[in-house]
Amino acid sequence: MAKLLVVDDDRMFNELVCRAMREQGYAVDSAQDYAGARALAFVQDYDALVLDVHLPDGTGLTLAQELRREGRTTPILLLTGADKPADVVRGLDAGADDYLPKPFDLDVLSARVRALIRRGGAQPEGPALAYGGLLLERGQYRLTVDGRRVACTPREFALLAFLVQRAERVVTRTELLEKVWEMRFDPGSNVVDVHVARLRGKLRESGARPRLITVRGAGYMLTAVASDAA
Amino acid sequence: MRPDAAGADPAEVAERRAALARLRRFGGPRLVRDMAALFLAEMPERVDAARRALAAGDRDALARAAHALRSSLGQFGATAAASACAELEAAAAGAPASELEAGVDRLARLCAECRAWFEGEIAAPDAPAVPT
Repeated sequence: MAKLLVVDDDRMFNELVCRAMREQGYAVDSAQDYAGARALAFVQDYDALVLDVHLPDGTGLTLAQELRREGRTTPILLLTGADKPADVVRGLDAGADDYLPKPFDLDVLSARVRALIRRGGAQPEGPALAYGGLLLERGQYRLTVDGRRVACTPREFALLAFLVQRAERVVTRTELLEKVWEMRFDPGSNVVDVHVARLRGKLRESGARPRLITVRGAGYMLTAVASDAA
Repeated sequence: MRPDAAGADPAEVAERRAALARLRRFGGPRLVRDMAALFLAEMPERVDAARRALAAGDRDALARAAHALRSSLGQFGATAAASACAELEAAAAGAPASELEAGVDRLARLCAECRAWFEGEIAAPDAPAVPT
């Protein structure tokens, strides 16, 4: 049975998410503050975290950052009352894999958690992927660029792995939603665009030769060939 | 800030019923009952927290109280009160105290209407909020 940690200081939301997840057959622990969440997240082995951003004694973003710094790859879904692009970017930059603005539909919450757990449970196996100086060591979520380690979240890793396997080919947004996010429907958010932008920035900052370009009206492409990058 | 209308408009009532129906579809009438009970119990506490913050001149606490209440109200389709929270949250940092006081009063009125509506809806044995 998959095990979740639900963190929300709002009693109603905490209870709502816990009940909904238990209805879906998960074992659920819950915390209502940062200290309690931190104590559980670093000791227990969870399949996913459902984490509110605003906590009375800290933030979910800080917890996500701490977990990632310690090498914890537990998938994190952020719940947030703020849905401005900058808030979303901050959340994903902190190490979250996905976000869901409040209010939310419980069916969508369940689908997002299922997708996170599937991806987390299916640790990528097989040989490392390499392309133009990028090396992706699957199973450890380790990305290096010309031998230099580049920090990335499990979601970014999965996105890049998918793009590397299709390098120099255009990949549509729908394909990315289906294959990387395991969503057969458009969630009506810009989650793909935000992750692509972040990954593009990381590749650029790390000096990677391959670039993640936007092919207007078609999708995205990882290319090591010089072109009119977007 | 906009003046509030007396009672909820039909569009908002539809939102509230849809929110309750979604809850019920997911977790049955018990989930609706339990979550609505928590929501309704916390609502006056949150409004009181906003009032206390205003009285203490603690604008950050006022913004936090409005923010927390906004999410719960939105989850239950209480859009007018959720909008009032959003306005209060946005105004908390810089608006004159008199404007914030009016905002909290308006929020309290909207929440009281909302609370009465939900109590009636949940209590009604064949209410459309919990369709079979």
